[in-house]
Amino acid sequence: MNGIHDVGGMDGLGPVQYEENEPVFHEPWEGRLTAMQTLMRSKHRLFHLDETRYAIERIDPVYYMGSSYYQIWLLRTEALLKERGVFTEEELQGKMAQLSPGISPAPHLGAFRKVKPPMSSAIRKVVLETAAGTAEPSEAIVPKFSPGMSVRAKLMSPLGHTRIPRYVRDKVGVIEAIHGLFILPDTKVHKGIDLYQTVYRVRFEAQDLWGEDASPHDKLYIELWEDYLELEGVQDEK
Amino acid sequence: MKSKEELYRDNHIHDHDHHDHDHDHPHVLSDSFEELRTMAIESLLIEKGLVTMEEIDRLVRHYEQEVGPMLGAKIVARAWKDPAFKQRLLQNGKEAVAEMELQAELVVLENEPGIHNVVVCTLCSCYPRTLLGLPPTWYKSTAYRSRVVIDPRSVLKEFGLELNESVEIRVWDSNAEIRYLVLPERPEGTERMSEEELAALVSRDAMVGTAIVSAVV
Repeated sequence: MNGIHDVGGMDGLGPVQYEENEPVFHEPWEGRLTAMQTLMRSKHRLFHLDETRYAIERIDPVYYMGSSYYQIWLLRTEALLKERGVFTEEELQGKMAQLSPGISPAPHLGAFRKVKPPMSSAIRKVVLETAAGTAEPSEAIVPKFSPGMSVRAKLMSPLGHTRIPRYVRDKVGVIEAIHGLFILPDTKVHKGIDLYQTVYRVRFEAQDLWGEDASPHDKLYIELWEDYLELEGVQDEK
Repeated sequence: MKSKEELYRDNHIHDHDHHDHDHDHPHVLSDSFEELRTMAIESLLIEKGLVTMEEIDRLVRHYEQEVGPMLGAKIVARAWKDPAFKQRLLQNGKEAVAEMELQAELVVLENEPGIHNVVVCTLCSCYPRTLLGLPPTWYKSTAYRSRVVIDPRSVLKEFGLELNESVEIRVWDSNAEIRYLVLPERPEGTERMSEEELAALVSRDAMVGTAIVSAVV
């Protein structure tokens, strides 16, 4: 989705704030939350990584921009646990009241503290059409592209989860290496299937992404699944 | 005066037996919605038999003490000392770090004269957690994620790293399952140092690519 999380190349987000000798966690709850999140995912397999990402992508943009990393994580985790039926909002509020009787602190940015349902559209698709892939990662698949080939990152705007950031879409790069087979996140989240597809390392010239202000020396490297790419035919036919 | 952590723990332990007859508990959590909410989730998950407090304690300890940049620094120091290992590391990072009993779907990026690598995750917070621990706040910030791809030189300058115009900057956006570790250039004057001494020079930021390694800590 063209969500608020996809920030590469955006302006206005300020200088980088650096904290010297930063602790691993600033507050104990951040550590406990992280641990619970890991246990729910790795031990109980209640959700997988891309589902956790997709839940964050659906958070109200005001909350996403105005909250700390762990505030966002907390909202994401409780939303997923409620979606999976582990507990209800009523149970959670009941437990909070029991732990801290008579006192109910206000949530940060309360009006925006929500994970939104996906938007529906008459025209736009939720998930890309897949052309390739296998359910069997050991299968020998012939990659469609090989190193040195010119490729174009597809121009697309799926409503659902995807891992092709906006700033590379419709841009031309070069296949630098083949990484092997990995599960396509798009169909994992929206169809619940493990579709293994070739992942490529693609190199873009900084100027091709950002224009002439960028240094002519600089490059951007990114890993893209096969379905995110198409052969840059025009150049090839010349 | 007990620490917040101790109070947090007490509150949990006493949750089941004290809450209806002991109202002298300090309401230490009342000032933070997030803290209280997290505690409530923990209590519910424990009650439902999904997690134990010990499992959580163990994982928190793991994140705080067992993983961190010291693991990545060992890899770098070994690569500087052992050319054969360095070659294996650059060729197949995953297999090379497995020799050191570390796990990562790893690609190692070597800085060389004229080439500087820097790593980001523009979409979320992908980071070589098994080798560097949890990422620092700046790495996860929208400021870093938005800017380092479009204007790496200005961002690196803010980190105190001013690169010559002729240097090629390679920005790596870790959006898939592959994780990146920068192999910094070994500083001059470190020829006699042991692997341990070398590892002590290697900072987290140098392995993300927002710093270089200098011979003086």
